[in-house]
Amino acid sequence: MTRRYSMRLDLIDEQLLDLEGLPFGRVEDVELTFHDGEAPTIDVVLTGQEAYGQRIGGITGDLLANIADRLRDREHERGPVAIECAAIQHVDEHVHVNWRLEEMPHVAGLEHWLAEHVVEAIPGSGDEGD
Amino acid sequence: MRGTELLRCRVVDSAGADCGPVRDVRLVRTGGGRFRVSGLVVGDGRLARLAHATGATDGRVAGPAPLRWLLADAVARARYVDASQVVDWGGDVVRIASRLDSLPTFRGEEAGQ
Repeated sequence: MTRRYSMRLDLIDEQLLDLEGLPFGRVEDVELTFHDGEAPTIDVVLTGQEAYGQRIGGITGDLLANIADRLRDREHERGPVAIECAAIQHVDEHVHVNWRLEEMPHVAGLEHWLAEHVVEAIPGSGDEGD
Repeated sequence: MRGTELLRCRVVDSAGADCGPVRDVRLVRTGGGRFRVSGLVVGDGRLARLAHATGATDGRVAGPAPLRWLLADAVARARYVDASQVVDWGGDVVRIASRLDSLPTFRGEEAGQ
């Protein structure tokens, strides 16, 4: 029997976990792709502050989306962070992605930036053995 | 179009009658890992929003019994629209080729899968 998923209950707002089970965000929205004479498909799920800002809309949403855009690494294209559905290993109470977080530098950009520029500068922030 | 935009659309049947808002989008996984929309769940009436948001219509609310009793009407009224019945995915309104009274119940449709 083919498993049927609920977009509302199984995807949107669900926690994203990387290959090692580390949480790195949640599914803020999904992008529907339309095809002539066929049912629409979801090719990517969207995560991050920009997607969340666009979802809630209004002044607050625009502000959140604009801040996220300003903090975006210029190496990566504009727009919310998208994760291809092909990279989704399986969906249970969380959404499991078969990538490691370090393989996704465009994901959780603020956290990456803070870790590199702020946390690493704090004495004692390294491993215990360092 | 974003998924959350589709969840804010209303559904209108072939006679122009309002069937209520899109409460959920049902998906199947395809070979390439993508999700394909298999159908929409629509429903209106008292406590429909709560019933759909908690998953009661999806059989995910086991208890307490008074809550299930409260939401039973909304669960029974939820209808399923197969994706093949949708003629216009529209911006604010989704138009379907069938009549509201001919739509199967969501629970019945799910049970038959």
